[in-house]
Amino acid sequence: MTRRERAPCFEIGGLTKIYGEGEAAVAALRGIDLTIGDGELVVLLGPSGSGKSTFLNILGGLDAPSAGHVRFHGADITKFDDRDLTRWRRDSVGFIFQSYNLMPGLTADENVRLVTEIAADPMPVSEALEAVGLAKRGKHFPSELSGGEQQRVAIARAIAKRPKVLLCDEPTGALDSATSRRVLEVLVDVARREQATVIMVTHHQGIAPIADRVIRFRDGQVEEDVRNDNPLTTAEITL
Amino acid sequence: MIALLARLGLKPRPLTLKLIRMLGSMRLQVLAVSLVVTAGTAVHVMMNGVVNSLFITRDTYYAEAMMAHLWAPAVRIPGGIVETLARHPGVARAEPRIAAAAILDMPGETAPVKARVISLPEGRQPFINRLHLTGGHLPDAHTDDLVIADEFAEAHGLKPGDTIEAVLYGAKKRFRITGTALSAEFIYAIPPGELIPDPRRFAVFWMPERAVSRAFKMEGAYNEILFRLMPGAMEADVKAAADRLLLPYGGGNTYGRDTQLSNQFIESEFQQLNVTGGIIPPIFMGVAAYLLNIVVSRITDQERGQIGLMKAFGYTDAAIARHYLIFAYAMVALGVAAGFIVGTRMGGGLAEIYRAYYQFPSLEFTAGLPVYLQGLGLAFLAATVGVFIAMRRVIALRPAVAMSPPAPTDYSHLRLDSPLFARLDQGLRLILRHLVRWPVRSALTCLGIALGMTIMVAAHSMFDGVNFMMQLQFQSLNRQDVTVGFIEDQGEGIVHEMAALPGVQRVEPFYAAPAILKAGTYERALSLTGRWPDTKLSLMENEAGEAVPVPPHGLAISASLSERLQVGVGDTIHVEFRTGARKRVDLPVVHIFTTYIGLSALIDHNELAALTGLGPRVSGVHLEVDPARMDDLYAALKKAPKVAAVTSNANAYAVMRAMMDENLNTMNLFNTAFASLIAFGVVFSSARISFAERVREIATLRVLGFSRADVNLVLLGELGILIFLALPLGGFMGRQLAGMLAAKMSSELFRVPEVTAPWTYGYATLIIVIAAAISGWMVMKQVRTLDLVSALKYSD
Repeated sequence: MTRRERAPCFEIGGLTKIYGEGEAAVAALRGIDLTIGDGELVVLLGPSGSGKSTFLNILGGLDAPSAGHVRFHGADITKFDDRDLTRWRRDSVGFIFQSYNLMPGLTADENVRLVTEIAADPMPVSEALEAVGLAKRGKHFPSELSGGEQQRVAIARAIAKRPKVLLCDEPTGALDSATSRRVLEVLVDVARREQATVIMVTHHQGIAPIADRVIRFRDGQVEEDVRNDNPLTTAEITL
Repeated sequence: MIALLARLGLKPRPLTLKLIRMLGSMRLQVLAVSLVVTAGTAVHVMMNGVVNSLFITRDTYYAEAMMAHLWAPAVRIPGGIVETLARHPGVARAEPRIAAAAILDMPGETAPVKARVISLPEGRQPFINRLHLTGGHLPDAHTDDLVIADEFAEAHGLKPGDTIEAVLYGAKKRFRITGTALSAEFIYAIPPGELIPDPRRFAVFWMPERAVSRAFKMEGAYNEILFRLMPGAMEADVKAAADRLLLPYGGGNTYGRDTQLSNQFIESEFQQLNVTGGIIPPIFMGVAAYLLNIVVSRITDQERGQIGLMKAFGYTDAAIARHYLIFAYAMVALGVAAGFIVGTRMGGGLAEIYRAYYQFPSLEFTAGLPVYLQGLGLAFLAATVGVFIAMRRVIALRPAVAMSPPAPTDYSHLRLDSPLFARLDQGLRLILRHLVRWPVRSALTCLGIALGMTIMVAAHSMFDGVNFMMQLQFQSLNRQDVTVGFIEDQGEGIVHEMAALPGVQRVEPFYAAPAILKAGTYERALSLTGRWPDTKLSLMENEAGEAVPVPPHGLAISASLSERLQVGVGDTIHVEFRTGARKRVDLPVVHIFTTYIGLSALIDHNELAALTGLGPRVSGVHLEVDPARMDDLYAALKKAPKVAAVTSNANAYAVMRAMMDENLNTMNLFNTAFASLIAFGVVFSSARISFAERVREIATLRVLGFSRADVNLVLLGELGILIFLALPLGGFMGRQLAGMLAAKMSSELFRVPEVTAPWTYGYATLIIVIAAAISGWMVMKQVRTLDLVSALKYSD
């Protein structure tokens, strides 16, 4: 199967999200139709308020749409109840946030173990930390790690369950350019290795060339959907 | 609220608006704090208000009634002595009277009713211990009509014009009631040796002096002198003079208000109320201060960005602190206002209970302004302390630091690398690290919950103690069915007369010889009780529960007397007899036994007979009676000329039991409510704070695929551990507090044993767990509705 012929991971149709009611209603998403293939690395670009984070949150089951469907390998996750969503997030989705969201009361090692203890087929904790280059920092608490290191622990925690999907919301938003490059390198590297579908929200144009596909959002709609048959490595991009 | 202010045309300042919104958004926690403050203030107002009311009412009553300062009883006092004593320096007035025991034969009462008859001066009110007539009028001086105690009349449905049958000095006669009255010396109306007023079975009545002296063959003489003293007079000096002068007439044990039975009970009640009112409200306010501390800590942590901004705008630290202080004051003000209302109502209810046992002309609950002000001060002090401790940290931050998101909490010193810890799952590690990361807060939360338990256990232990005491006194030690007292001491032949009465299966006589007991600088007027050997009905045991015999030589004294006189086994007590040859002897203390009611000193009857020089005498007998023939016995006792008092052990037990049951339910309700409030307030606030602080962690766990149950476990597991630790701590503290309360409440009249029944711990645990479960459930509801997306973003 070529890159163009990937099996569908997400099939999204008529996805709409409206916040508020009546005159105060704001449409964050206005009927998005998209299909995202397995193993694709997708970068979502767009200005603030364009709806890209809302889109990501709905894909991750953190938010519910007002209308439309999101099929993940055929199953409509918008129909999932809380128990199904919990199981789905536990087994299939890895999240990476701009603000890391590590547990301050657990060491790096333990933050990863938090996930490996409940996932169906996790990788060893050491392997996950090794993959992000932090094998020797496992005993440190988040307060003892730099921002880049904390984000790499978050990546290790996300990939340790061998997720089918990695959802990343501004993963380098709080980092300087050198650290951002290192984090992206790790992220792309492990995602490719694990053949995970990666959907990354960013407002940083410079990141786009590493993606298989770049989707641009504006006013809650897809403004542009561009496929990239020759993605660059993180070393080749300008941040 | 804000809309209301706008409608009223008021434009609150921005910080005021913020304050109102804060109160609204945290209404549940505001409620929790307010309720704890309400409870503390209510108990304060109730207890101290009742003390105030009782105190004022009693003193006013004593003043109006010209209550005696001293009572000087004797056997037979010639009239002339009164004149001599009235001229003694410091004496404002001395008034003689005759006071004696009598029995009444009341319809509907099978047992003879105990009574006290007191003479009235010819045709007028006495100058000392004036009566408060509640109906009818005083009897005419030349009749043998009588005025009867109001509560007795009410209990038996008697009114002026009715008649009653009384046995005075062995002679039975019917008397007409001319009036009903209250007396300041019988506010708490009980016969000697009893604890609880029983208006159906104890009467006081007043008759013209002429009729009483005739009935008791006391013409031209009296058997008691009452004294009113000049302001500043030396009571001890007058007492000594009265003792000295009355010694030849069977006197010598003049006593003051401090040992006057009714007043002694009132004082003991003041003591108990003061102890409870002094200990319990500060516990509540301590908890309130802690709750305010964690609530304000949470707000200031949440609003650290806003605080930084306010500082950047030029607000001073004092202005910012004032803002949060007003927030805390608003919560406290709500609680204090509610506490005043609840406390005043509860005080009214408590006064109602007191009205049932204490016979005042009127007893209204008036707490008085100082009590309310103290309550207010206590609550606001708690708020101020709580807020200042909470604000110290945030106020110290520089604006730029305050406005940036907080760094991850530093747990680096809590690596906890032990192999045991390594085996724990991550949830448990989070719980344990969080617990030890804030040790002071964890300890205070634990202490707060423990205090709820403490109040329950301590309060309940008081009832356990009284139950234990009743069981011991009425069932284990005093096995007699009936105790009979005689109008005057009898010879040993009375034992055979008693044995011949219907239904009597066993007779055990005793002799009470009045004496003054001295040891060093301590002394106490008390009757030495002469006991016959081989008693089976009235027993003694020591603290270890072993039987204590009456020694052939020397004394067996109660632990309460040993404390009063500060003597132990082997020490000597100097005994000055007030009867017979009035000998003065030194007697060794051979045994100390446990009794929780009154003071007591026992001696072998042969030794006592020898010491008094009167030979074997009998003041009364304990009887074991065939239950089927009890009524026959009572009928016979009503006719027996020598009988002055009949006490049924079962009745005394039933009266006490009824009072206990009546008050137990009310007190239980209060204690349970108060303890639950504390437990709920502490657990809910802690859980809510924990939730607020860890909302990102909780959301992260949910995003990582942890179920709600897992998350609840992490959130509430910490509280679970603290509750688990708090329960034994609270049990222990409750026991200690109970011991302290028992010691502080104990008086000469009775001591509360330090006993806590196992089920008290069980009940207290159950209440705390239920309160904790409810607050846990309320926090779990918040986890269920948690918005993951917004929780994962930093907001400031």
